[in-house]
Amino acid sequence: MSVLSQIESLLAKAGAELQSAASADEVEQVKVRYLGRKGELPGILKGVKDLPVEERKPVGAAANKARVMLDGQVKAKLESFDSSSDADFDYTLPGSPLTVGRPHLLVRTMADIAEIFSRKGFLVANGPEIESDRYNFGALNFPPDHPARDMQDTFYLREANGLPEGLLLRTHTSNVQVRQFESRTPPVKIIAPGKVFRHEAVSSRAYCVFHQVEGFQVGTDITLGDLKGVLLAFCQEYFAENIELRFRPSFFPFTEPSAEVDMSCLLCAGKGCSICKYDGWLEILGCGMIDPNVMSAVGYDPEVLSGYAFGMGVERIAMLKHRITDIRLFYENDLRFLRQF
Amino acid sequence: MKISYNWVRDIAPVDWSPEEMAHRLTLAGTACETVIDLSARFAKMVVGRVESCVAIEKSDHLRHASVSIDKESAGKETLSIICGAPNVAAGQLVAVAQVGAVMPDGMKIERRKMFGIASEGMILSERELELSDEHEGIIVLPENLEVGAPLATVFGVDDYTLEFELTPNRPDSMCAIGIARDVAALSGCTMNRPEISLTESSEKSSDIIQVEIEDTEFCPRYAARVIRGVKVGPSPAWLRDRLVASGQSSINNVVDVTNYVMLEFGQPLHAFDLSRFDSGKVVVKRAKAKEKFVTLDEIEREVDESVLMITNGSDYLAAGGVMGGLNSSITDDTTDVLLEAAYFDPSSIRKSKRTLGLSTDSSARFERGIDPNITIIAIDRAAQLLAEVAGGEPLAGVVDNYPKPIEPLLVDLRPERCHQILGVEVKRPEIEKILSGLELGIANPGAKTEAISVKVPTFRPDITREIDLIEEVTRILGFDNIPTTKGYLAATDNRKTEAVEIQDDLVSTLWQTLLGVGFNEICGSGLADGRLLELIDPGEPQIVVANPISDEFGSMRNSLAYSLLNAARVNVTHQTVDLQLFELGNIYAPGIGKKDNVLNADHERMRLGVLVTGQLQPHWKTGRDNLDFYTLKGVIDSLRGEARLAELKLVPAKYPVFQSGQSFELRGGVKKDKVVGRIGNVSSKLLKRFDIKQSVSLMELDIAELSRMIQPGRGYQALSKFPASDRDLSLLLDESVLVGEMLKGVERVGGELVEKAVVFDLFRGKQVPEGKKSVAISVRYRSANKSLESSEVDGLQQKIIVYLKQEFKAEIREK
Ligand SMILES: [Zn+2]
Repeated sequence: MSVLSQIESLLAKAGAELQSAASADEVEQVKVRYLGRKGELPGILKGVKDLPVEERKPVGAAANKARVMLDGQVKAKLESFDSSSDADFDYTLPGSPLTVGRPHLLVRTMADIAEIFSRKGFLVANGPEIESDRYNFGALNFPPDHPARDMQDTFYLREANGLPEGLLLRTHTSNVQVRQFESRTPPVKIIAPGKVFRHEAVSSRAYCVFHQVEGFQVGTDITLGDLKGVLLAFCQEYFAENIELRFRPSFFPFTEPSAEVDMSCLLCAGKGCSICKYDGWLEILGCGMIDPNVMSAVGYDPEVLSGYAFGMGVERIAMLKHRITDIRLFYENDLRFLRQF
Repeated sequence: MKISYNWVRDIAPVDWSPEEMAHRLTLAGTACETVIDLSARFAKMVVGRVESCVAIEKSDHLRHASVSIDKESAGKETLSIICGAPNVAAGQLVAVAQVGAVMPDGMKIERRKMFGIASEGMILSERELELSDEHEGIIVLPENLEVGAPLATVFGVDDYTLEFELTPNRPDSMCAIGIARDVAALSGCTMNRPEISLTESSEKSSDIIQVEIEDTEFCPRYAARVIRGVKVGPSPAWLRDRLVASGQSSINNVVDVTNYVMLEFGQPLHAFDLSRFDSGKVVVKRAKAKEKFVTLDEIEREVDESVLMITNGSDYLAAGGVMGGLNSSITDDTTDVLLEAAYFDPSSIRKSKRTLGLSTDSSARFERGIDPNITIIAIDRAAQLLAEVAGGEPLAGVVDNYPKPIEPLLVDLRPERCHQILGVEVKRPEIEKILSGLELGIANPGAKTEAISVKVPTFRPDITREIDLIEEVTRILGFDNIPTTKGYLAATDNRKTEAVEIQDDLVSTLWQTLLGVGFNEICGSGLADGRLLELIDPGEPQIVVANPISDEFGSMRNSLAYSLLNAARVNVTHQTVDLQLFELGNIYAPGIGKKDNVLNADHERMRLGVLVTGQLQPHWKTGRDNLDFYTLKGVIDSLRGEARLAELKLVPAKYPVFQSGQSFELRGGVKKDKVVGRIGNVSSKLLKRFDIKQSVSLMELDIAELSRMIQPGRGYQALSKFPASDRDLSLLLDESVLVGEMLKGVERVGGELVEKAVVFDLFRGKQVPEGKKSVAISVRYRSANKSLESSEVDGLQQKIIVYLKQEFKAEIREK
């Protein structure tokens, strides 16, 4: 057995003995056994002078390294028995900065919403942000040249640099409805979170980009009652159990009947406060029964099938939940803001 | 749209308060957002007497008035008011806004000082009160009023304005009768429509005027009436009050009547000065390209074939359905009036309105679709009112050109279909009652089994299908009366395609890993400043917005570098200088998505962008450590490990976004030659442009390309039971040696017994010769099936040393 191997096995042996030492006394004994004047390591080194010169140097280095290591192990083991006795132990020193990153609030909000719907068996799906007129409007029952189109101010894209004509930035995630219908056989149950664009002046309350979560279900006997049920269940899970909803009939080209949905104010429970502008209600989403024209446009038979759709603004929900007063904060990406959530 | 509450109640008599009416209508889909108390708008406004009025010396037009507003003080206590109107004079009774009053435009009256004189209120003009456009002088009130009386009693506006946010599908509700119809349907009250009685002269309208329509598609109906002997002047108070309460200012009696009838019946009317029709005919025809026309608002506009003109055969007198012409408007000298009531095609009006760049009360109604059969009632009503308030004499009859009358539609409603959609059964008699309440006719009342046949009047152009009728039933019934059910729990087959599944999983792994190693997620808007994009990636094609809100949002980002650098700029500006940022988001460029069409997105690709700058949080154990290029390389290693990605190679490449020489492609894929991303240190020129005064490292990776680099699982690997041996080496190397390459070589040369080779120290300095670096590496040896003999390890280590000496000219400093 070469000297180097001896040192190696000595280290392993000493390490194991230290490991199993049950008291400071036992540790001292191990130390004396291996490192003491008559200990095993000095014993091995006695033979070094008989080695050829060129082999002495590496053995010396290895022995040195072994001593330093064992010393360290002994010290650490002793500290493990009685750290308070160690005068240089300052428990008030800060711990290591093991920082974890934060998800963006919008991404987290979408993930939270998706999670609730996933539990109810909805599939999460995505779709393109650059769309054709057909998927954003036409197949969703927005007739050409109809005042309904004024409800959603649209960014159109220039036919340039190889981009074909007639494209726009989607104004809602309802395009996913059409695309999913085209590729699936009912029944379907899907939610589609994503980015949408509206031609709007930027202010603290409006931004030209925002996020939406669209949800829809189509089957043979899906009713308005089911729509009310799913929205109530969602709001009670996401916001608070005692939330109530109010449905105000409204108009969207792709649903009929349609409604805007208000939620009882989170803060004042309907009594009126500054958050709800003393109304007791907060507008939270739009919804309705999928219009037969939308079904027909994708080849579903509206006589056999029925379904609902709803859409909610992610920024609005995050702003309500966290009482954020300026929508632009979401896109400035100031860490002082982002790391609050 | 604004409508007077009293007006609605005159037609639909209910005892609802304004707030209750607003609430009930809103819950039935006729959204009434705001109720304005009109007497409240006269709060702190009273009748005052001007006791004295003198010019202010230092001003060229201002005067100083003393106004008493208290009857008891008999002129002894007065308010000091500075006034600019030329017609203020001592002895007048005037309308005074006291300190604290709020004007209709929101301005609050406050105590002020000008030229050293206090002003404690304001003497009001009609325009300031939004009573009319008159602003030349103040209102001089009749002598018989009492000083100090509240102004509300003088103007007698004991009314409320109901302000509606109407959806585009409900043109029927854009008038008092339409709103009243909903109120009647909800309350069950009976409507009182205005009675129209008319005394006509023996002369006939048709003797004076003929109507020719050249384009009956744009204009299916045009009716005209002639009223002679009109005296243009102010409107009576009742008419002014109704208009003001409905958000219209009073102009003169003739124009006011046309506005009144529009607000009452929803039929826009136009009054022409008859003298412009000396040709004896109205000709309705499209304009020609590039012609000019001056509208009533005194603006010259360019018109073309999309605009329908009302002409006398030669001159253009009005842009049909949008706005009258300046040349045919009612003036103080007008005596004979030609009244127009027409029906214009909605989508044609939309095009016309767009060409003119003009949206009016009239175009707003036509483009949504008015009732084509209200024409005669409305024009007769206007003639009656002109006789009443302007002394006009209507000629006999209406000249009505209506070649193809538009008939009411018959639409079937199956009660069982209604049940199927709502999830609750609404009984046939109840459905019939709701529909009748909305003045929708039942063609087969009392039928038992067949569908309810509904005769839809022409004022409801939105109702053409069964579902439209179901919607009417729902909104009157109220959503609250539909029980919630749990059909949403029904199971569906939610399969994803394999490509979507793989991509979703990858994105989620990358996201979690980055958060775990301390990176904060940002979210860019996607819209970008094209000029900055061009600086980042010169010559790369951009997607350009045709109608941007500003240059800042004029293009779509074609890199994530844009959003990351913007976020870095914002944070550094606020002294947050140590940043670890990432974004998982789309970039956009023509055609870039075609190849990896997971989302059918031809012009989008999902990318991961990562940016670091500054330092890790300093710590007493580890000191300071920069966040730099090597941090990013560490991120790549973490991501590769977590997502099981194949190797990524750095290949020098020229990207203008990066400092040359510190700019690399990331290559990978099956043949390891596919460019899947880029990494480097951001160029100082760009940093300057983003106001960042510290070095920044950045990388971008393409998600679809990464998803193709995922390696199949290797299955379970047995754990070695045998100890490892570590050997350290300290080397002196030329600066040109690439340490990463050298380590790979060590692992290769050492063979399968080398578990890992790592660099644990690198330094240059005093003990190291110029042009050299000192590098310490540690090699770990381990066998899967035996304890390694020291000699065996020594042998391998020796082989490595030889390799390092030969291949990298390494000097071994110490074993
Ligand atoms: Zn509240």
